Amino acid sequence: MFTKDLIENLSCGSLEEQLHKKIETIQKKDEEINSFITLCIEDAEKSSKIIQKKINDGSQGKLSGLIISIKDNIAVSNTRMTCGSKALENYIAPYDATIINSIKKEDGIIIGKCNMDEFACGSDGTSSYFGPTKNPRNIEYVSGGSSSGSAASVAADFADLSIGSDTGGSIRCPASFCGVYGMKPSYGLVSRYGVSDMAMSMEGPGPLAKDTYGIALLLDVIAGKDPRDTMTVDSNNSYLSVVENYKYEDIQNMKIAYAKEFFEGIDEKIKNIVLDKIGILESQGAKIEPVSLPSVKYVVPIYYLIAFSEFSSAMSKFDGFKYGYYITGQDIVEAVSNTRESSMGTEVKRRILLGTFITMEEFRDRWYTKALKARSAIKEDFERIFKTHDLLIGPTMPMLPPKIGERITDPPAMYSSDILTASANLAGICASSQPVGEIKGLPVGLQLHANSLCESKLLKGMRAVEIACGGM
Amino acid sequence: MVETIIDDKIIERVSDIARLKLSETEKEKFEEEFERILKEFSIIDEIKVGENELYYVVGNVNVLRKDSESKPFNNIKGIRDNFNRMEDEYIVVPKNL
Repeated sequence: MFTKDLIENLSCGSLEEQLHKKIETIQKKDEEINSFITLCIEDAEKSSKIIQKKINDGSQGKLSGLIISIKDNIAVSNTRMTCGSKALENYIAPYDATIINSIKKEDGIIIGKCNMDEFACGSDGTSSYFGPTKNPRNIEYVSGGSSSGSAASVAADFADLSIGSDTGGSIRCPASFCGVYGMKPSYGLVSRYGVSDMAMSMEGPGPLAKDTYGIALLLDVIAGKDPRDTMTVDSNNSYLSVVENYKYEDIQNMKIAYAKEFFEGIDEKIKNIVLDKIGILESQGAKIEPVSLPSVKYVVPIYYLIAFSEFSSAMSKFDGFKYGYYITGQDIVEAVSNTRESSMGTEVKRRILLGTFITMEEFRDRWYTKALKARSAIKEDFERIFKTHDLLIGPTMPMLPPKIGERITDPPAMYSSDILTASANLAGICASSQPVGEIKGLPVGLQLHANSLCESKLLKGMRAVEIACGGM
Repeated sequence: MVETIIDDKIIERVSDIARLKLSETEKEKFEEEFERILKEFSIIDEIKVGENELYYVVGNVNVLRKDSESKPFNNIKGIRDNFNRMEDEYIVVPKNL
């Protein structure tokens, strides 16, 4: 297991040397890839010295000096936090998010803040005010988003692990496009305190890594109840042992559902690669059974109607007075309108306006309330599947990463790329993406879903797929 | 189901409520796009829905904190450093009346 070996190497080598290797790679390559908005080199060097001493006397935390990148919508104390927007270009976070606190406590080294689609509005990593993140596997292609820099920094070996956030697929999409592992934990498992909110009922931070071991390790560190986020629940934090104790025979006890609706209208080559892996799992003893998930075609409108509404409300705090970009006006209303007009990008404006529109008194029942009712139907669909099955398997993305210049800019077409990922957020369940092949050098991701708070099952499934793909 | 009609007046009202000034070009562009997006989204009318509006997917209710004095936030300077315009201890904003 790659991440495990890395930790072993760190415990006998020099942390400072490792860190400098990473910094050198970043300085050489990131100008082109653009996965970081802000680097924390000085702080990282300071931490590496402290952690080295701990390693020397054997008292290091779980992350023991692994180098970690953080999506730029998560607060790291006294460090710039932009959310990929001009609106927060000079905002310095005055505190640590709960998960950042946990990462620091367990001796992770924070190397920098990652590029992202502006306020997480996008699924290709190109809408950042700080420029697009390019795909390290082929820089002519998009990296996926919105956690674009998180996935790219792991793929380019700028970081060992990363933290992203996922509202409708924002961890899984870039993980799939860049060929790394990513997990969207169940709603409520990981604290959102210190995460700039986009759609409060669906989003949450989660880990990205180079293998299942790395995902489980970071999840152990960040999961669990936080009094500052009342949606959080207790966790036993023993995910790593689930992965470590996994045995090849365990696959024979797995009941995996397969929904044909997840394969309709997707790229044929992606379909074939994913079906091939499902075949391998079956030949190794997993029980694969077809199920029907007729609600898939409604996922995109339901997801976006709710996301727009929650987003427009979340964005109302950006008025420029207490922090962020500011342009004055004759009165308060004009100042706020001017500030927002000149500091936010097109997709952000589009979502604020649509969200405002569909929650207005006369349109609310027609759109917002209707979407909330339909959301119940999606959740029930998944509950039905997980009564009889441990996992639901399929592709992560319906298409390969598009070329940067050829990306789709028409909104309805752009939104449709979330069709396979957004249902997990609507239902609050956990889901993952991991690389299972490639087409002309571009990675293909396989997605697994498990029921709410069944991360152990999800990790076992990820490990089974990892082994099926020849991973150690 | 009553169709939602999006015209100049609606876009202006939305822009006003959202406190987001729009240029004439943006108004035209969004008007056309919103019409199309919502037309596509009206596919949700096909779903048979119950009365249950699902706001949150977790069962947590009435989560209370301990009734004790909370630890005060100590990085006041960090908050203040982000203020755009300040006089003495106050944030300066344009007049509201």
